[in-house]
Amino acid sequence: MPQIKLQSSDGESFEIDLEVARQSVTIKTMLEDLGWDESDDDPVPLPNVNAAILKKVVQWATFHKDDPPPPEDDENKEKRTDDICTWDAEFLKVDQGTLFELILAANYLDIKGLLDVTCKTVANMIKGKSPEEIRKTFNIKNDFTPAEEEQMMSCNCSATME
Amino acid sequence: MITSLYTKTWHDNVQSYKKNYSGCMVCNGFYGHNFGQPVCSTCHLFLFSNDVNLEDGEQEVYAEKDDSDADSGNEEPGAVSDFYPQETDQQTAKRVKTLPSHKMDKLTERISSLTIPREKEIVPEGLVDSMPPEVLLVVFKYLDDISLWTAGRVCPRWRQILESETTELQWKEFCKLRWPLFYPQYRVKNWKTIYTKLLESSPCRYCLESMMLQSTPPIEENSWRHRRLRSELKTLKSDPPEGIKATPLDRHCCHWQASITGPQGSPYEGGLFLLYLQIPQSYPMRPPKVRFITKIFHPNISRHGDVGLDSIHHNWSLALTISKVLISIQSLLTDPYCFVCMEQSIGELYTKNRSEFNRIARLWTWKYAMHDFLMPMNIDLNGV
Repeated sequence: MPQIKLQSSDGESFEIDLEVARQSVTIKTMLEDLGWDESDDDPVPLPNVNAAILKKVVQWATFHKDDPPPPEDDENKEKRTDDICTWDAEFLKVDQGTLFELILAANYLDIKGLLDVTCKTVANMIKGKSPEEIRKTFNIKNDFTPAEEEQMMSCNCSATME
Repeated sequence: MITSLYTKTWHDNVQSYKKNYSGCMVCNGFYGHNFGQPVCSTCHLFLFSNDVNLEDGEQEVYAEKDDSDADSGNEEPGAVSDFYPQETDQQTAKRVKTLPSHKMDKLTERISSLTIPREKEIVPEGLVDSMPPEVLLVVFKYLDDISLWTAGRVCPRWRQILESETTELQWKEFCKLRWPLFYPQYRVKNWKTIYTKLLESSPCRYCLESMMLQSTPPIEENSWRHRRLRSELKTLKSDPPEGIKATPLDRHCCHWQASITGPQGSPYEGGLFLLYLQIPQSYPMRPPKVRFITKIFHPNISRHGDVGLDSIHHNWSLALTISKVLISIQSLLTDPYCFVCMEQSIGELYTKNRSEFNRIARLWTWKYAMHDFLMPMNIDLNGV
């Protein structure tokens, strides 16, 4: 099995199977554009991903290397979020900082499966919460201007015949 | 104008009533914040099961622990054993094991998150804000309509991203899906506003959510239940009682939505009150669970929407049907029963100061139950 070297933003190299690396559309096209062949020994630089995250991504991609390609998005398909497999659920038991960095990495590397499962995890954290709770969960500042708040409130109870 | 008459006093009423609503009506904040809902999410998980086959407040989680005991401890004496032969321990154990586990997990998860101390996780501020919009859109793609609506109120950035992505048509679809019995009597210009109104007129967001989850446990079709529901549905379609509509939401007829129009002469006149019904697997042995999903000011209807009617609790009879239950609720709107109340203070107001009661009840009807007639508009309160 041919191997390929990936280099993280902080200079650490990872040697992984080519098949595993090709799950990332970004790496795949990069290799095609570069005309990469097995004799190449230069590492592929990934300036947007640090070693810790790259390690996680490689771990995920190695586990899922035999998965069938993810289905194309279908507008009418039911948007399920409770179908995360146990391995992924266990894998994503990380702090929120790591989770969001994984999302960014999956987005940058264009790994659909990983992006979907991480985003599902975040969606599950949003579901069933009030705006205030969501802000608290993700440490988001409420920077609505008082006028905007007012507008939403008036939308709230502008009811009919007040 | 009627408008100006109501404006002043309305505000005072809401203020005084809101005070009582500030904490969870069950635990009063002990299990956490209720975020404007009548019942906090923990108590809601405890008391109002999503599982159509469980009685409210009956949780099978603990049955697992009780397996070794001779007495399973959570069978209501008389209620079940009157109809079925007493289950043996093995049967009970088997039943517990075959129960769908996802709902239990939610409660177990909640309890453990409340009881096991964790290091407080601090998300660096601005981390979520640094997410590019295309990533946020992938996240939003997995949200249901209520969560989408909520996400639009988190921060201006999320709001902007969502507004550019969700169309009027989608909001229309969401309204139709969630409130199939709601027909506006005018041309709707802004479906999102209608959605907002209907959502905010509902006493409990968690109940609305569970209405759409339609978590139907893998049930063996019970032919008695099936036949009976089919004939009830047929009668409801062909000869519906005055001012009453009901429709099943899922294939197994476990979840229904119903509407009752406010009876003439009552302060609820002109209002369209929506209800959510759960028909258990053992129906008609057990009564349906009925809850209002439109806020209503009534002594026998709790702020959470539960109806205090004996015939859908301990006085259930096989002769009763969904439409009969809805008719009794309709007549309860005309004649509240104040000896036993769901909301004591409203009951007191009803007996002691009828005109004040009527006034507030009418205001609530205007505010929460007439979105099908009154086009939502922004009235400047100061200008009135």
